[in-house]
Amino acid sequence: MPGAQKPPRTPATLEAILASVTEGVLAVDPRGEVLLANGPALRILGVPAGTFGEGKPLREICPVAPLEGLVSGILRDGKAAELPDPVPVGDRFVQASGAPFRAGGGASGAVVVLTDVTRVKRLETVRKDFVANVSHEIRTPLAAIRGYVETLQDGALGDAANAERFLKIIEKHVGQLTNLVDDLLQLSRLEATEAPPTRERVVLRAVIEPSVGTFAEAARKKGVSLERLPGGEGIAVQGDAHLIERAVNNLLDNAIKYTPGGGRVTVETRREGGEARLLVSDTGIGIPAEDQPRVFERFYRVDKSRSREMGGTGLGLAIVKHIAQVHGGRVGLTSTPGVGSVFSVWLPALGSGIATVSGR
Amino acid sequence: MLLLVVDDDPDMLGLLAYNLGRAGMSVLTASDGEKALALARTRKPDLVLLDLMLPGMDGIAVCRALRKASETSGTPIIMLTARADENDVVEGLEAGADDYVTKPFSPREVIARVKTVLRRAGAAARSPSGRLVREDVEIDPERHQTTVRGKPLDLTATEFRLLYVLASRPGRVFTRNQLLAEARGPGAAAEDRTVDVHVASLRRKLGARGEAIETVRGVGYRFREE
Repeated sequence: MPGAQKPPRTPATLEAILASVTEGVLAVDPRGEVLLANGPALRILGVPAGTFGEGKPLREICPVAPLEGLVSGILRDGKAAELPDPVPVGDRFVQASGAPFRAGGGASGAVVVLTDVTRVKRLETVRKDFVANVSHEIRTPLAAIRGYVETLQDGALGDAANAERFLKIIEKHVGQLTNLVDDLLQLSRLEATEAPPTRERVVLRAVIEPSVGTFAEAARKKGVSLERLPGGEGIAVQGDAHLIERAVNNLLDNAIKYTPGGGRVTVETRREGGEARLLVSDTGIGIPAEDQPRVFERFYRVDKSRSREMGGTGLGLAIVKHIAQVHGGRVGLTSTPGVGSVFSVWLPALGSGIATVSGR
Repeated sequence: MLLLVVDDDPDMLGLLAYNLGRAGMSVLTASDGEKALALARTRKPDLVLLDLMLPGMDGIAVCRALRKASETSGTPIIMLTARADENDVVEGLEAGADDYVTKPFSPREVIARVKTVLRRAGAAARSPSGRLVREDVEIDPERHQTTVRGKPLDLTATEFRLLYVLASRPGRVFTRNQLLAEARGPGAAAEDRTVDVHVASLRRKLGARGEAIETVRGVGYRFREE
Protein backbone atom coordinates (compact mmCIF):
# COMPACT_ATOMS: atom_id res chain seq x y z
CA MET A 1 0.00 0.00 0.00
CA PRO A 2 2.02 2.97 -1.19
CA GLY A 3 1.44 6.07 0.88
CA ALA A 4 0.06 4.18 3.90
CA GLN A 5 2.29 5.00 6.81
CA LYS A 6 3.77 2.15 8.85
CA PRO A 7 2.82 2.67 12.52
CA PRO A 8 5.86 3.21 14.72
CA ARG A 9 6.83 0.44 17.20
CA THR A 10 6.27 2.57 20.25
CA PRO A 11 5.06 1.31 23.66
CA ALA A 12 1.71 2.90 22.83
CA THR A 13 1.42 0.82 19.66
CA LEU A 14 2.31 -2.37 21.53
CA GLU A 15 -0.24 -1.57 24.19
CA ALA A 16 -2.89 -0.99 21.52
CA ILE A 17 -2.02 -4.36 19.97
CA LEU A 18 -2.25 -6.13 23.33
CA ALA A 19 -5.55 -4.44 24.11
CA SER A 20 -7.15 -5.89 20.98
CA VAL A 21 -6.06 -9.48 21.66
CA THR A 22 -8.98 -11.59 22.94
CA GLU A 23 -6.79 -13.54 25.38
CA GLY A 24 -5.77 -12.01 28.64
CA VAL A 25 -2.07 -11.10 28.76
CA LEU A 26 -0.34 -10.51 32.06
CA ALA A 27 3.32 -9.74 32.61
CA VAL A 28 5.09 -9.72 35.97
CA ASP A 29 8.59 -8.67 36.88
CA PRO A 30 11.10 -10.89 38.68
CA ARG A 31 9.70 -9.82 42.08
CA GLY A 32 6.22 -10.93 41.08
CA GLU A 33 4.86 -7.43 40.64
CA VAL A 34 2.55 -6.76 37.74
CA LEU A 35 4.19 -4.90 34.85
CA LEU A 36 1.28 -5.03 32.50
CA ALA A 37 -2.21 -6.49 32.21
CA ASN A 38 -4.36 -5.99 29.14
CA GLY A 39 -8.14 -5.35 29.28
CA PRO A 40 -9.18 -8.99 28.72
CA ALA A 41 -6.82 -10.13 31.52
CA LEU A 42 -8.51 -7.77 33.98
CA ARG A 43 -11.94 -8.86 32.76
CA ILE A 44 -11.11 -12.56 33.01
CA LEU A 45 -9.67 -12.13 36.50
CA GLY A 46 -12.67 -10.03 37.52
CA VAL A 47 -10.57 -7.00 38.50
CA PRO A 48 -12.88 -3.95 38.53
CA ALA A 49 -11.83 -1.24 36.10
CA GLY A 50 -9.82 1.50 37.77
CA THR A 51 -8.60 -0.62 40.68
CA PHE A 52 -5.62 -2.01 38.80
CA GLY A 53 -2.29 -0.34 39.38
CA GLU A 54 0.96 -1.40 37.79
CA GLY A 55 3.60 -2.44 40.25
CA LYS A 56 1.17 -4.14 42.63
CA PRO A 57 1.98 -7.72 43.61
CA LEU A 58 0.07 -10.25 41.49
CA ARG A 59 -1.58 -11.64 44.64
CA GLU A 60 -3.36 -8.34 45.20
CA ILE A 61 -5.15 -8.24 41.88
CA CYS A 62 -5.55 -11.98 41.56
CA PRO A 63 -5.75 -14.06 44.73
CA VAL A 64 -5.96 -17.37 42.85
CA ALA A 65 -3.47 -19.89 44.26
CA PRO A 66 -2.92 -22.00 41.10
CA LEU A 67 -2.18 -18.86 39.04
CA GLU A 68 0.25 -17.55 41.64
CA GLY A 69 1.86 -20.98 41.69
CA LEU A 70 2.20 -20.97 37.91
CA VAL A 71 3.84 -17.53 37.90
CA SER A 72 6.24 -18.24 40.75
CA GLY A 73 7.19 -21.55 39.08
CA ILE A 74 8.04 -19.77 35.83
CA LEU A 75 10.05 -17.12 37.71
CA ARG A 76 11.90 -19.77 39.71
CA ASP A 77 12.65 -22.28 36.92
CA GLY A 78 12.91 -19.90 33.99
CA LYS A 79 10.86 -22.37 31.93
CA ALA A 80 7.51 -22.24 30.12
CA ALA A 81 4.64 -23.87 32.01
CA GLU A 82 0.87 -24.23 31.91
CA LEU A 83 -1.91 -25.20 34.29
CA PRO A 84 -2.95 -28.83 33.81
CA ASP A 85 -6.64 -27.96 34.18
CA PRO A 86 -8.75 -24.82 33.95
CA VAL A 87 -9.11 -23.12 37.35
CA PRO A 88 -12.19 -21.38 38.74
CA VAL A 89 -11.81 -17.62 39.08
CA GLY A 90 -15.00 -16.11 40.48
CA ASP A 91 -17.78 -17.55 38.33
CA ARG A 92 -15.53 -18.25 35.32
CA PHE A 93 -13.08 -20.96 34.35
CA VAL A 94 -9.66 -19.88 33.18
CA GLN A 95 -6.94 -21.76 31.37
CA ALA A 96 -3.44 -20.28 31.78
CA SER A 97 -0.02 -20.81 30.25
CA GLY A 98 3.09 -18.74 30.56
CA ALA A 99 6.75 -18.34 29.71
CA PRO A 100 9.71 -16.40 31.09
CA PHE A 101 10.96 -13.28 29.35
CA ARG A 102 14.12 -11.32 29.83
CA ALA A 103 13.88 -7.55 29.82
CA GLY A 104 17.25 -5.84 29.61
CA GLY A 105 20.03 -7.92 31.11
CA GLY A 106 18.54 -8.68 34.55
CA ALA A 107 16.56 -11.57 35.98
CA SER A 108 13.64 -12.82 33.92
CA GLY A 109 9.99 -11.97 34.43
CA ALA A 110 6.99 -13.99 33.34
CA VAL A 111 4.29 -13.43 30.77
CA VAL A 112 1.08 -15.35 31.20
CA VAL A 113 -1.75 -15.83 28.69
CA LEU A 114 -5.21 -16.33 30.16
CA THR A 115 -8.07 -17.89 28.19
CA ASP A 116 -11.65 -17.77 29.37
CA VAL A 117 -12.95 -21.34 28.93
CA THR A 118 -16.20 -20.86 30.87
CA ARG A 119 -18.32 -21.59 27.81
CA VAL A 120 -16.37 -24.73 26.97
CA LYS A 121 -16.74 -25.91 30.57
CA ARG A 122 -20.46 -25.27 30.47
CA LEU A 123 -20.83 -27.25 27.24
CA GLU A 124 -18.84 -30.02 28.82
CA THR A 125 -21.33 -30.13 31.71
CA VAL A 126 -24.24 -30.27 29.27
CA ARG A 127 -22.51 -33.10 27.41
CA LYS A 128 -21.82 -35.02 30.62
CA ASP A 129 -25.44 -34.68 31.73
CA PHE A 130 -26.55 -35.87 28.32
CA VAL A 131 -24.31 -38.92 28.43
CA ALA A 132 -25.54 -39.73 31.93
CA ASN A 133 -29.14 -39.43 30.72
CA VAL A 134 -28.55 -41.60 27.67
CA SER A 135 -26.85 -44.30 29.68
CA HIS A 136 -29.74 -44.32 32.13
CA GLU A 137 -32.26 -44.53 29.29
CA ILE A 138 -30.34 -47.48 27.84
CA ARG A 139 -29.89 -49.28 31.13
CA THR A 140 -33.56 -49.30 31.95
CA PRO A 141 -34.76 -51.42 29.00
CA LEU A 142 -31.50 -53.38 29.10
CA ALA A 143 -32.14 -54.30 32.74
CA ALA A 144 -35.55 -55.69 31.79
CA ILE A 145 -34.21 -57.58 28.76
CA ARG A 146 -31.32 -59.11 30.66
CA GLY A 147 -33.46 -60.01 33.64
CA TYR A 148 -36.25 -61.66 31.67
CA VAL A 149 -33.86 -63.55 29.36
CA GLU A 150 -32.08 -64.99 32.39
CA THR A 151 -35.40 -65.82 34.01
CA LEU A 152 -36.45 -67.75 30.90
CA GLN A 153 -33.10 -69.55 30.79
CA ASP A 154 -33.39 -70.47 34.44
CA GLY A 155 -36.57 -72.44 33.94
CA ALA A 156 -39.37 -70.02 33.10
CA LEU A 157 -39.30 -71.34 29.50
CA GLY A 158 -41.12 -74.40 30.78
CA ASP A 159 -43.67 -72.21 32.55
CA ALA A 160 -45.91 -71.75 29.52
CA ALA A 161 -48.31 -69.31 31.13
CA ASN A 162 -45.52 -66.86 31.92
CA ALA A 163 -43.01 -67.55 29.13
CA GLU A 164 -45.10 -65.87 26.45
CA ARG A 165 -45.75 -62.86 28.65
CA PHE A 166 -42.03 -62.52 29.40
CA LEU A 167 -41.19 -62.65 25.67
CA LYS A 168 -43.70 -59.85 25.04
CA ILE A 169 -42.04 -57.77 27.74
CA ILE A 170 -38.61 -58.39 26.16
CA GLU A 171 -40.01 -57.43 22.76
CA LYS A 172 -41.43 -54.22 24.17
CA HIS A 173 -38.09 -53.20 25.67
CA VAL A 174 -36.20 -54.07 22.47
CA GLY A 175 -38.65 -51.74 20.69
CA GLN A 176 -37.93 -49.08 23.29
CA LEU A 177 -34.18 -49.34 22.68
CA THR A 178 -34.72 -49.18 18.92
CA ASN A 179 -36.83 -46.03 19.26
CA LEU A 180 -34.21 -44.49 21.50
CA VAL A 181 -31.39 -45.14 19.01
CA ASP A 182 -33.54 -43.77 16.14
CA ASP A 183 -34.39 -40.62 18.06
CA LEU A 184 -30.80 -40.06 19.18
CA LEU A 185 -29.57 -40.32 15.60
CA GLN A 186 -32.29 -37.99 14.40
CA LEU A 187 -31.44 -35.48 17.07
CA SER A 188 -27.70 -35.56 16.40
CA ARG A 189 -28.31 -35.08 12.65
CA LEU A 190 -30.54 -32.09 13.41
CA GLU A 191 -27.99 -30.60 15.77
CA ALA A 192 -25.25 -30.90 13.17
CA THR A 193 -27.09 -28.72 10.62
CA GLU A 194 -28.40 -25.22 10.59
CA ALA A 195 -30.56 -25.65 7.53
CA PRO A 196 -32.99 -28.38 6.50
CA PRO A 197 -31.41 -31.11 4.34
CA THR A 198 -33.72 -30.28 1.44
CA ARG A 199 -35.41 -27.00 0.69
CA GLU A 200 -38.55 -27.50 -1.30
CA ARG A 201 -41.94 -25.89 -1.23
CA VAL A 202 -43.96 -27.80 1.34
CA VAL A 203 -47.72 -27.33 1.51
CA LEU A 204 -48.48 -28.03 5.18
CA ARG A 205 -51.78 -29.68 4.41
CA ALA A 206 -50.03 -32.21 2.17
CA VAL A 207 -47.83 -33.18 5.14
CA ILE A 208 -50.63 -33.32 7.68
CA GLU A 209 -52.89 -35.61 5.64
CA PRO A 210 -50.58 -38.66 5.69
CA SER A 211 -49.69 -37.98 9.31
CA VAL A 212 -53.34 -38.02 10.37
CA GLY A 213 -53.73 -41.22 8.32
CA THR A 214 -50.83 -42.85 10.18
CA PHE A 215 -52.40 -42.24 13.58
CA ALA A 216 -56.04 -42.89 12.64
CA GLU A 217 -55.86 -46.49 13.82
CA ALA A 218 -54.16 -45.70 17.15
CA ALA A 219 -56.74 -42.98 17.84
CA ARG A 220 -59.67 -45.23 16.95
CA LYS A 221 -58.37 -47.99 19.22
CA LYS A 222 -58.21 -45.57 22.09
CA GLY A 223 -61.57 -44.02 21.35
CA VAL A 224 -60.04 -40.62 20.64
CA SER A 225 -61.41 -38.60 17.73
CA LEU A 226 -58.63 -37.32 15.45
CA GLU A 227 -59.34 -34.76 12.77
CA ARG A 228 -57.85 -32.08 10.61
CA LEU A 229 -59.71 -28.81 10.93
CA PRO A 230 -60.59 -27.01 7.70
CA GLY A 231 -58.90 -23.78 6.67
CA GLY A 232 -55.34 -22.74 5.88
CA GLU A 233 -55.47 -24.70 2.62
CA GLY A 234 -52.76 -22.95 0.62
CA ILE A 235 -50.24 -22.35 3.42
CA ALA A 236 -46.74 -23.43 2.41
CA VAL A 237 -43.26 -23.21 3.83
CA GLN A 238 -39.81 -23.88 2.46
CA GLY A 239 -38.05 -26.87 3.90
CA ASP A 240 -37.87 -30.61 4.27
CA ALA A 241 -41.24 -32.37 3.97
CA HIS A 242 -40.02 -35.50 5.78
CA LEU A 243 -38.78 -33.53 8.77
CA ILE A 244 -41.95 -31.48 9.02
CA GLU A 245 -44.00 -34.66 8.81
CA ARG A 246 -41.90 -36.14 11.59
CA ALA A 247 -42.62 -33.10 13.75
CA VAL A 248 -46.36 -33.49 13.12
CA ASN A 249 -46.09 -37.23 13.86
CA ASN A 250 -44.35 -36.63 17.18
CA LEU A 251 -46.97 -34.08 18.22
CA LEU A 252 -49.87 -36.31 17.20
CA ASP A 253 -48.30 -39.32 18.91
CA ASN A 254 -48.03 -37.39 22.18
CA ALA A 255 -51.50 -35.88 21.89
CA ILE A 256 -53.13 -39.29 21.41
CA LYS A 257 -51.05 -40.94 24.16
CA TYR A 258 -52.02 -38.34 26.73
CA THR A 259 -55.68 -37.99 25.78
CA PRO A 260 -58.10 -40.38 27.49
CA GLY A 261 -60.77 -42.25 25.51
CA GLY A 262 -63.66 -40.02 24.48
CA GLY A 263 -61.31 -37.09 23.98
CA ARG A 264 -60.47 -35.17 20.86
CA VAL A 265 -57.25 -34.34 19.00
CA THR A 266 -57.22 -31.79 16.17
CA VAL A 267 -54.60 -30.44 13.77
CA GLU A 268 -54.91 -27.13 11.98
CA THR A 269 -52.84 -24.61 10.09
CA ARG A 270 -53.13 -20.85 10.22
CA ARG A 271 -51.34 -17.98 8.66
CA GLU A 272 -50.09 -15.38 11.16
CA GLY A 273 -48.37 -12.47 9.42
CA GLY A 274 -45.30 -13.84 7.70
CA GLU A 275 -45.53 -17.13 9.57
CA ALA A 276 -47.28 -20.41 9.08
CA ARG A 277 -48.58 -21.84 12.35
CA LEU A 278 -49.33 -25.50 12.82
CA LEU A 279 -51.41 -26.37 15.89
CA VAL A 280 -51.99 -29.76 17.49
CA SER A 281 -54.67 -29.50 20.19
CA ASP A 282 -55.94 -32.17 22.56
CA THR A 283 -58.39 -32.56 25.39
CA GLY A 284 -55.85 -34.63 27.32
CA ILE A 285 -54.41 -34.61 30.81
CA GLY A 286 -52.52 -31.35 30.25
CA ILE A 287 -49.13 -30.27 31.60
CA PRO A 288 -48.59 -28.59 34.99
CA ALA A 289 -47.40 -24.97 34.72
CA GLU A 290 -44.05 -25.70 36.37
CA ASP A 291 -43.20 -28.34 33.75
CA GLN A 292 -44.29 -26.34 30.71
CA PRO A 293 -41.05 -24.42 30.15
CA ARG A 294 -39.04 -27.65 30.22
CA VAL A 295 -41.00 -30.15 28.12
CA PHE A 296 -38.98 -29.38 24.98
CA GLU A 297 -35.73 -30.30 26.75
CA ARG A 298 -34.07 -33.60 25.93
CA PHE A 299 -35.15 -36.36 28.31
CA TYR A 300 -37.40 -34.08 30.34
CA ARG A 301 -40.51 -35.99 31.32
CA VAL A 302 -43.49 -34.79 33.29
CA ASP A 303 -44.25 -38.33 34.47
CA LYS A 304 -41.29 -40.64 33.99
CA SER A 305 -42.89 -44.00 34.56
CA ARG A 306 -45.96 -43.10 32.53
CA SER A 307 -43.87 -41.86 29.61
CA ARG A 308 -41.77 -45.00 29.56
CA GLU A 309 -44.77 -47.25 29.92
CA MET A 310 -46.12 -45.65 26.75
CA GLY A 311 -42.88 -46.27 24.88
CA GLY A 312 -41.72 -42.65 24.90
CA THR A 313 -38.01 -41.91 24.55
CA GLY A 314 -38.12 -38.50 26.20
CA LEU A 315 -36.79 -37.00 22.96
CA GLY A 316 -39.94 -36.48 20.86
CA LEU A 317 -40.55 -32.84 21.71
CA ALA A 318 -36.83 -31.99 21.59
CA ILE A 319 -36.85 -33.30 18.03
CA VAL A 320 -39.90 -31.16 17.20
CA LYS A 321 -38.12 -28.10 18.57
CA HIS A 322 -34.97 -28.81 16.55
CA ILE A 323 -36.97 -29.39 13.37
CA ALA A 324 -38.65 -26.01 13.87
CA GLN A 325 -35.27 -24.38 14.51
CA VAL A 326 -33.49 -25.72 11.44
CA HIS A 327 -36.37 -24.24 9.44
CA GLY A 328 -35.89 -20.88 11.11
CA GLY A 329 -39.02 -21.41 13.20
CA ARG A 330 -39.97 -21.97 16.83
CA VAL A 331 -42.29 -23.96 19.06
CA GLY A 332 -44.79 -23.04 21.76
CA LEU A 333 -47.20 -24.58 24.23
CA THR A 334 -50.30 -23.60 26.14
CA SER A 335 -51.76 -26.14 28.49
CA THR A 336 -54.17 -26.49 31.39
CA PRO A 337 -54.00 -29.63 33.53
CA GLY A 338 -57.19 -31.63 33.16
CA VAL A 339 -58.36 -29.58 30.18
CA GLY A 340 -55.82 -30.13 27.46
CA SER A 341 -52.81 -28.81 25.58
CA VAL A 342 -52.09 -26.90 22.38
CA PHE A 343 -48.65 -27.40 20.83
CA SER A 344 -47.71 -24.93 18.09
CA VAL A 345 -44.97 -24.83 15.50
CA TRP A 346 -44.33 -21.56 13.70
CA LEU A 347 -42.37 -21.65 10.47
CA PRO A 348 -41.55 -18.81 8.08
CA ALA A 349 -44.32 -18.92 5.45
CA LEU A 350 -43.73 -18.78 1.73
CA GLY A 351 -45.61 -16.03 -0.17
CA SER A 352 -49.39 -16.55 -0.40
CA GLY A 353 -50.60 -19.48 -2.48
CA ILE A 354 -51.73 -17.24 -5.32
CA ALA A 355 -48.39 -15.47 -5.58
CA THR A 356 -46.54 -18.78 -5.67
CA VAL A 357 -48.83 -20.16 -8.35
CA SER A 358 -48.47 -17.05 -10.54
CA GLY A 359 -44.73 -17.14 -10.00
CA ARG A 360 -44.47 -20.51 -11.69
CA MET B 1 -39.34 -64.72 54.40
CA LEU B 2 -41.37 -61.67 53.41
CA LEU B 3 -39.76 -59.17 51.03
CA LEU B 4 -40.91 -55.72 50.00
CA VAL B 5 -39.85 -54.75 46.46
CA VAL B 6 -40.09 -51.06 45.51
CA ASP B 7 -39.73 -49.93 41.88
CA ASP B 8 -41.76 -47.62 39.65
CA ASP B 9 -41.30 -49.86 36.60
CA PRO B 10 -43.98 -52.58 36.58
CA ASP B 11 -41.77 -54.86 34.45
CA MET B 12 -39.00 -54.66 37.07
CA LEU B 13 -41.47 -55.39 39.86
CA GLY B 14 -42.80 -58.37 37.91
CA LEU B 15 -39.29 -59.66 37.22
CA LEU B 16 -38.14 -59.44 40.83
CA ALA B 17 -41.40 -60.77 42.27
CA TYR B 18 -41.34 -63.78 39.93
CA ASN B 19 -37.73 -64.70 40.67
CA LEU B 20 -37.90 -64.12 44.42
CA GLY B 21 -41.12 -66.09 44.49
CA ARG B 22 -39.44 -69.02 42.75
CA ALA B 23 -36.65 -68.80 45.32
CA GLY B 24 -39.28 -69.47 47.97
CA MET B 25 -39.86 -65.96 49.30
CA SER B 26 -43.11 -64.08 49.67
CA VAL B 27 -43.13 -60.74 47.91
CA LEU B 28 -44.98 -57.47 48.45
CA THR B 29 -44.62 -54.79 45.79
CA ALA B 30 -44.90 -51.00 45.87
CA SER B 31 -44.54 -48.58 42.96
CA ASP B 32 -43.72 -45.46 44.95
CA GLY B 33 -42.14 -44.32 48.21
CA GLU B 34 -45.31 -43.49 50.14
CA LYS B 35 -46.85 -46.91 49.42
CA ALA B 36 -43.56 -48.57 50.33
CA LEU B 37 -43.42 -46.86 53.73
CA ALA B 38 -47.04 -47.72 54.49
CA LEU B 39 -46.49 -51.39 53.59
CA ALA B 40 -43.23 -51.58 55.53
CA ARG B 41 -44.96 -50.23 58.63
CA THR B 42 -47.99 -52.52 58.50
CA ARG B 43 -46.50 -55.74 57.09
CA LYS B 44 -42.97 -55.55 58.61
CA PRO B 45 -41.04 -57.29 55.79
CA ASP B 46 -37.79 -59.11 56.53
CA LEU B 47 -35.98 -57.12 53.83
CA VAL B 48 -36.64 -54.22 51.47
CA LEU B 49 -35.37 -54.11 47.87
CA LEU B 50 -35.52 -50.44 47.02
CA ASP B 51 -35.04 -48.68 43.67
CA LEU B 52 -33.39 -45.29 44.11
CA MET B 53 -35.13 -43.53 41.21
CA LEU B 54 -38.72 -43.20 42.31
CA PRO B 55 -41.26 -40.57 41.31
CA GLY B 56 -42.10 -38.16 44.14
CA MET B 57 -40.34 -39.31 47.29
CA ASP B 58 -37.03 -40.77 46.07
CA GLY B 59 -35.29 -43.92 47.26
CA ILE B 60 -32.81 -42.10 49.51
CA ALA B 61 -35.67 -40.38 51.35
CA VAL B 62 -37.49 -43.73 51.70
CA CYS B 63 -34.32 -45.28 53.06
CA ARG B 64 -33.94 -42.55 55.69
CA ALA B 65 -37.60 -42.77 56.66
CA LEU B 66 -37.35 -46.55 57.09
CA ARG B 67 -34.30 -46.14 59.32
CA LYS B 68 -36.01 -43.46 61.41
CA ALA B 69 -39.24 -45.37 62.12
CA SER B 70 -38.85 -47.68 65.11
CA GLU B 71 -40.73 -50.57 63.42
CA THR B 72 -38.36 -50.64 60.45
CA SER B 73 -35.10 -49.22 61.80
CA GLY B 74 -33.46 -52.66 61.77
CA THR B 75 -34.95 -53.95 58.50
CA PRO B 76 -32.20 -54.74 55.98
CA ILE B 77 -32.36 -52.63 52.80
CA ILE B 78 -30.78 -53.42 49.44
CA MET B 79 -30.79 -50.55 46.96
CA LEU B 80 -31.34 -51.01 43.26
CA THR B 81 -29.94 -48.30 41.08
CA ALA B 82 -29.81 -47.76 37.33
CA ARG B 83 -27.05 -45.26 37.84
CA ALA B 84 -23.72 -46.93 38.46
CA ASP B 85 -22.66 -43.58 39.85
CA GLU B 86 -20.51 -44.07 42.92
CA ASN B 87 -21.94 -40.95 44.57
CA ASP B 88 -25.41 -42.49 44.57
CA VAL B 89 -24.09 -45.66 46.12
CA VAL B 90 -22.27 -43.70 48.82
CA GLU B 91 -25.36 -41.57 49.48
CA GLY B 92 -27.53 -44.69 49.72
CA LEU B 93 -25.20 -46.49 52.12
CA GLU B 94 -25.00 -43.38 54.28
CA ALA B 95 -28.78 -43.13 54.29
CA GLY B 96 -28.77 -46.56 55.90
CA ALA B 97 -28.88 -49.14 53.10
CA ASP B 98 -27.07 -52.42 53.76
CA ASP B 99 -26.05 -53.28 50.21
CA TYR B 100 -26.63 -52.28 46.61
CA VAL B 101 -27.15 -53.84 43.18
CA THR B 102 -26.73 -51.84 39.97
CA LYS B 103 -28.99 -52.22 36.95
CA PRO B 104 -28.85 -54.06 34.64
CA PHE B 105 -28.62 -56.86 37.18
CA SER B 106 -28.88 -60.61 37.01
CA PRO B 107 -31.87 -61.97 38.97
CA ARG B 108 -29.59 -64.75 40.25
CA GLU B 109 -27.25 -62.12 41.65
CA VAL B 110 -30.10 -60.28 43.36
CA ILE B 111 -31.31 -63.48 45.01
CA ALA B 112 -27.78 -64.28 46.19
CA ARG B 113 -27.43 -60.78 47.67
CA VAL B 114 -30.82 -61.00 49.35
CA LYS B 115 -29.85 -64.30 50.98
CA THR B 116 -26.48 -62.93 52.11
CA VAL B 117 -27.98 -59.80 53.65
CA LEU B 118 -30.70 -61.83 55.39
CA ARG B 119 -28.11 -64.25 56.78
CA ARG B 120 -25.94 -61.39 57.94
CA ALA B 121 -28.91 -59.70 59.63
CA GLY B 122 -29.79 -62.97 61.39
CA ALA B 123 -26.23 -63.50 62.56
CA ALA B 124 -25.93 -59.94 63.86
CA ALA B 125 -29.12 -60.37 65.85
CA ARG B 126 -27.90 -63.61 67.43
CA SER B 127 -24.34 -62.79 68.43
CA PRO B 128 -23.94 -60.77 71.65
CA SER B 129 -21.88 -57.63 71.19
CA GLY B 130 -18.59 -58.99 72.23
CA ARG B 131 -15.69 -61.00 70.97
CA LEU B 132 -15.48 -61.42 67.19
CA VAL B 133 -13.80 -64.47 65.69
CA ARG B 134 -13.13 -64.24 61.96
CA GLU B 135 -11.17 -67.30 60.93
CA ASP B 136 -7.81 -66.82 62.64
CA VAL B 137 -8.44 -63.19 63.62
CA GLU B 138 -9.88 -62.63 67.09
CA ILE B 139 -11.05 -59.24 68.28
CA ASP B 140 -11.86 -58.77 71.94
CA PRO B 141 -13.38 -55.36 72.69
CA GLU B 142 -13.30 -55.84 76.47
CA ARG B 143 -9.57 -56.40 76.61
CA HIS B 144 -9.09 -54.14 73.57
CA GLN B 145 -6.96 -56.84 72.05
CA THR B 146 -6.63 -58.28 68.55
CA THR B 147 -4.79 -61.49 67.82
CA VAL B 148 -3.91 -63.21 64.55
CA ARG B 149 -3.27 -66.93 65.03
CA GLY B 150 -2.98 -66.22 68.76
CA LYS B 151 -0.34 -63.53 68.28
CA PRO B 152 -1.41 -60.15 69.69
CA LEU B 153 -1.24 -57.10 67.43
CA ASP B 154 -0.30 -53.60 68.52
CA LEU B 155 -3.20 -51.51 67.15
CA THR B 156 -3.99 -47.87 67.84
CA ALA B 157 -7.42 -47.08 69.30
CA THR B 158 -8.67 -45.85 65.91
CA GLU B 159 -7.34 -48.89 64.05
CA PHE B 160 -8.95 -51.18 66.61
CA ARG B 161 -12.35 -49.55 66.24
CA LEU B 162 -12.16 -49.54 62.44
CA LEU B 163 -11.34 -53.23 62.43
CA TYR B 164 -14.12 -53.99 64.92
CA VAL B 165 -16.72 -52.12 62.88
CA LEU B 166 -15.69 -53.74 59.59
CA ALA B 167 -15.35 -57.26 61.04
CA SER B 168 -18.66 -57.03 62.89
CA ARG B 169 -20.56 -57.06 59.57
CA PRO B 170 -18.48 -59.06 57.06
CA GLY B 171 -19.49 -58.38 53.45
CA ARG B 172 -21.12 -55.08 54.26
CA VAL B 173 -19.66 -52.03 52.51
CA PHE B 174 -18.95 -49.04 54.75
CA THR B 175 -18.30 -45.60 53.26
CA ARG B 176 -15.33 -43.59 54.44
CA ASN B 177 -17.62 -41.16 56.27
CA GLN B 178 -19.36 -44.01 58.07
CA LEU B 179 -16.05 -45.51 59.13
CA LEU B 180 -14.78 -42.16 60.32
CA ALA B 181 -17.93 -41.57 62.35
CA GLU B 182 -17.70 -45.09 63.82
CA ALA B 183 -14.04 -44.80 64.64
CA ARG B 184 -14.05 -41.31 66.06
CA GLY B 185 -17.63 -40.71 67.06
CA PRO B 186 -20.23 -38.74 65.11
CA GLY B 187 -19.35 -35.27 63.86
CA ALA B 188 -15.71 -36.14 63.26
CA ALA B 189 -14.15 -33.88 60.65
CA ALA B 190 -14.75 -35.68 57.37
CA GLU B 191 -11.39 -36.06 55.73
CA ASP B 192 -11.62 -38.90 53.27
CA ARG B 193 -7.97 -39.73 53.28
CA THR B 194 -7.74 -40.07 57.06
CA VAL B 195 -9.58 -43.36 56.84
CA ASP B 196 -7.37 -44.54 53.98
CA VAL B 197 -4.28 -43.89 56.07
CA HIS B 198 -5.66 -45.83 59.07
CA VAL B 199 -6.79 -48.71 56.87
CA ALA B 200 -3.39 -48.92 55.17
CA SER B 201 -1.70 -49.11 58.54
CA LEU B 202 -4.23 -51.64 59.83
CA ARG B 203 -3.66 -53.88 56.80
CA ARG B 204 0.08 -53.74 57.32
CA LYS B 205 -0.28 -54.79 60.96
CA LEU B 206 -2.65 -57.63 60.03
CA GLY B 207 0.03 -59.01 57.72
CA ALA B 208 -1.24 -61.79 55.47
CA ARG B 209 -4.76 -61.32 56.87
CA GLY B 210 -4.69 -57.66 55.77
CA GLU B 211 -6.30 -58.64 52.50
CA ALA B 212 -9.49 -59.44 54.41
CA ILE B 213 -10.14 -55.70 54.35
CA GLU B 214 -11.21 -55.06 50.78
CA THR B 215 -11.33 -51.72 49.00
CA VAL B 216 -14.62 -51.05 47.19
CA ARG B 217 -13.49 -48.58 44.56
CA GLY B 218 -15.07 -45.15 44.86
CA VAL B 219 -17.24 -46.25 47.80
CA GLY B 220 -15.30 -47.45 50.84
CA TYR B 221 -14.22 -50.68 52.51
CA ARG B 222 -15.59 -54.03 53.62
CA PHE B 223 -14.40 -57.04 55.60
CA ARG B 224 -14.35 -60.06 53.32
CA GLU B 225 -17.00 -62.67 53.94
CA GLU B 226 -15.75 -66.07 54.98
